[in-house]
Amino acid sequence: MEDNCTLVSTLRALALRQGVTPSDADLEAVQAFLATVLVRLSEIEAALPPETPPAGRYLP
Amino acid sequence: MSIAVLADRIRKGELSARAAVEESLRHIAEIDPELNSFISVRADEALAEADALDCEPSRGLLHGVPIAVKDMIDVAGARTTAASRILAENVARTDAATVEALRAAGAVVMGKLNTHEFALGAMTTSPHFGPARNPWATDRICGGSSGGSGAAAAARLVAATLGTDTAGSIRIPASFCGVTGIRPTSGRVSNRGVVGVSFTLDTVGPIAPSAEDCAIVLEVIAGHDPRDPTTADLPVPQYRRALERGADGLRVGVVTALVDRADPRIGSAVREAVEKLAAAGAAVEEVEIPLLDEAGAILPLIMLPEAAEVHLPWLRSRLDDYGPDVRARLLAGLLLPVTANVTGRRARRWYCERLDEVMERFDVLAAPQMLTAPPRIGEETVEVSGEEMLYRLSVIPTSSPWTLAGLPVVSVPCGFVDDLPVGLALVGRRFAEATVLRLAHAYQTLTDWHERRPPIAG
Repeated sequence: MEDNCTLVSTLRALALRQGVTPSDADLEAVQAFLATVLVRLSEIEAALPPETPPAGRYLP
Repeated sequence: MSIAVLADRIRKGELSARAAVEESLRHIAEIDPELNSFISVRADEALAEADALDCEPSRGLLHGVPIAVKDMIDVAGARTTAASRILAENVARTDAATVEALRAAGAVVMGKLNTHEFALGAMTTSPHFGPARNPWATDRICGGSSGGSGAAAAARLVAATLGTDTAGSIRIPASFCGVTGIRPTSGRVSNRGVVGVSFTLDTVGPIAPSAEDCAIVLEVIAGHDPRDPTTADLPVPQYRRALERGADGLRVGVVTALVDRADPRIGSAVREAVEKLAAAGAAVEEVEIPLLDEAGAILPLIMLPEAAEVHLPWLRSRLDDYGPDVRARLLAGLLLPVTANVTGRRARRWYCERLDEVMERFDVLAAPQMLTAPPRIGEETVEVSGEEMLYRLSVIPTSSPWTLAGLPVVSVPCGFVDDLPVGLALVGRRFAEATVLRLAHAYQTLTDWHERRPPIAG
């Protein structure tokens, strides 16, 4: 529960620095959304070959 | 009546543009109160434009043909609301590039079509403008975000519609509503005058009953736009002419991992459709797509931060005016780590290079467009492979892999499950829209799924 409060506080601070003032309910929803995305981001970071440059608009 | 037949009759003087527009307006008035596919109708303007067209020689392929566009696409003098409260009173001063092209070809723009708020979702259940309803079962969603475009095309309220597709938003409603829709290659069609979601992924494309209809509309709207630097400076093929070449000799890879994941009845419909493609002369074999699941995880790393950047001024000043689901998506984009987008773009190259190796062996990939039938309005979950999952997550496996690579995809009707339409996705190489439309047309010459109308259409 403490971790949850800390994370919500961190998200709120990040939002405020960008001029956005979300409610607690907003941040709870975002937290659930991010939980999925961030786990997958970590997996992709681990699997991504290090020499890969970013894609341009028209591939390859 | 197909676009080709309708345009031909108008060209020959057997039917006036005014009569075609009046018929469309009559259908909209009779049927749309049940569907809510339109946000606004340009009745007086459309009639005046039709009268003007009746007094001049044919402008082109769409002379006098009634078409409607998603309410993300600007039409001069009409509101572009994006089904949002934020843009509820936003009146466009000029036409979007695609609307300019439609008008130059003689089309009459009938109005603006319902969408998921800001095209940031796949349900078309705007809290501000109400849900668009599926013409095959009005208690069900029509998919999204171009849900109004799918519903209006299926109910034959207009001859064709334009949708936009960032992560499946043309293909999903085309599949759920039993019509044909093509997401062109990223960069094939101008996004000028379209409310943005993601600079990297946004596209505009047609939804209509048949692949031939889509080919005609795409031929009109495709091409380089010097005022949209995201468009590719490439020649536009004559898509309709390409349809005549049939399926003979095309190499089709069946994405069995997705066929097996779909509702078994959808999987069966897709397998039967693939057998038809083989009967039409295509060389069919099974294919494994590398990093298929990773594609669905990579896409939001690109899309969400780009969408948050587009919306940042409104996130600062009008946060409470978004619906809860769209607000959560945009805030997630805002609050992702700054490295996420770069990782996403690197991973996009990683994925695309692996996929390109597969595409060297095939002209077209075939897969189910959706894993499930459309849920009822208000339902957030669906059952996939015996497990309940969020609907918004269920649309990812069949849409994101092709979106991420910027490939053209056409969804064609290929059957029914519980009286609800099923779509077959045909995926082509970059800028090879002619090939996927050619295969879709070959399939539609052997089947009549695309000719079936929902009872509400009369």
